[in-house]
Amino acid sequence: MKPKIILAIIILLSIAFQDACCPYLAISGIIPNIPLILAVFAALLKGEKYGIVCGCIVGLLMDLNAGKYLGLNMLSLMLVALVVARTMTGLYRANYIIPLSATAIGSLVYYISFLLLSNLIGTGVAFWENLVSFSLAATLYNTFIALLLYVIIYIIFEKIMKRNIFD
Amino acid sequence: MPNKVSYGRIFLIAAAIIIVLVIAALTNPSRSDITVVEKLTQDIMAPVKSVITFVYDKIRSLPLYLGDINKTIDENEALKREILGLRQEMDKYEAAYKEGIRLRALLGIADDMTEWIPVAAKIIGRDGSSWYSTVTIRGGEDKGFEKNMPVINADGLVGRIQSVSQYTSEILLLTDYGGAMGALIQTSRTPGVIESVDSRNVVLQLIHIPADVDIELGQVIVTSGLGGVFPMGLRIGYISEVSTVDGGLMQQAYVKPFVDFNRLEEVMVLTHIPAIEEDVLDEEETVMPTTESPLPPSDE
Repeated sequence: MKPKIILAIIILLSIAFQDACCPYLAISGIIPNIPLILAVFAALLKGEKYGIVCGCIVGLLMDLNAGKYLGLNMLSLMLVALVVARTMTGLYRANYIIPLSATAIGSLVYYISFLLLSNLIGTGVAFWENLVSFSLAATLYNTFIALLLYVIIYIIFEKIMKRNIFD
Repeated sequence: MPNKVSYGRIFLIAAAIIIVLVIAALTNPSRSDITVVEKLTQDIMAPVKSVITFVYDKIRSLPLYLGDINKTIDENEALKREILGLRQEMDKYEAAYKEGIRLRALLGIADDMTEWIPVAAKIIGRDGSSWYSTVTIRGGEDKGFEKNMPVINADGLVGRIQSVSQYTSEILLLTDYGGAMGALIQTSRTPGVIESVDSRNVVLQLIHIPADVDIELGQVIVTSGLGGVFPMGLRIGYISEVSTVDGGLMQQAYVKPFVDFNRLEEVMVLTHIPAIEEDVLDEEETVMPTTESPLPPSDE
């Protein structure tokens, strides 16, 4: 199967899984963010350009699927991919510490940027309340989920999708 | 990666970000309708979500099913007996309903109220982003759903339809920050505004209540019908805590919703039917709605 098709399927499944199942995995209202983890791993495993495009597509689909504030998730996930790719490039990716650190950094960047942007356009989402009570806990939860998902995504990106879709 | 970044490139990126933010601001939930692209995306995602929800539900319910099968059989018997009793109750209410219509016609009360038909819909997804309290239901324009239609379940008010695509609808839950509405205390008829305080922990508050109003814990809060979105009398929740604000001039009450928002599986959308015309009243045997009243019985 072509890498582009595999990527499209993974993205669709991640967003559908996020809406259909992740709310049931909530702990005290904290929901893990699978599309965010996907964008982080795409940037980590495939580099900056791939990560940003992947973040853009995932974020745009999340926004279209939510049906409101088009572009907020897209911009936030593109920034996540950029930061992860810049900070983690050249590190030994098979070491488990690296993907977990990347997820933690990516999650923090995502939550902060999303809250900033949404306050900039006046969505009504409380900034400090969410930053303090939600973002840190959600970052920890995402990092834990990343621990479980890394092997699967690593195999898909590195073994099945050997060829970069931009090659 | 080149280290030199031209001013032209920075300008282009900044312009792109500003354009995206303008689009984001313009696509807020208060707009009249979502775009074709959003509808298309939601319709494409709907079957994928349905399949995942179906599989996930089966996996989740398997241990419960195996463990509780005897309990379910007993419960089934008890429910059958309850249905028999409720049917008799319904006959009484049906007679009272017809009498109400007849008396309203006799008194010549102008009736611009709209009747509602509840249409069942299954929840196929929730907003997984943590920022908004919305759920996706199966059924959209194909079932006659429209933006702002009220959504209830057996326990009370769930929310309202925020956007509709061909086959799915997005429900803005009562617990969302944007879900504020007019409400009143059922017994004293004191009006106020109910809004979300903490969407993740499902906390609502009733605000703008004058300080001289007596509020008791456990009092039921219902919709006021003001604003034209919700019919009057839909049950919202009960008062769990009362406090004074604005230097003692006003009161606010924390409200615990009747609906368990974490376990929503099916809901009823209240769709419009035209108001009953006088000439139809003559044939009153045929004007009774085929479904029961959407207003759950009061606790009082």
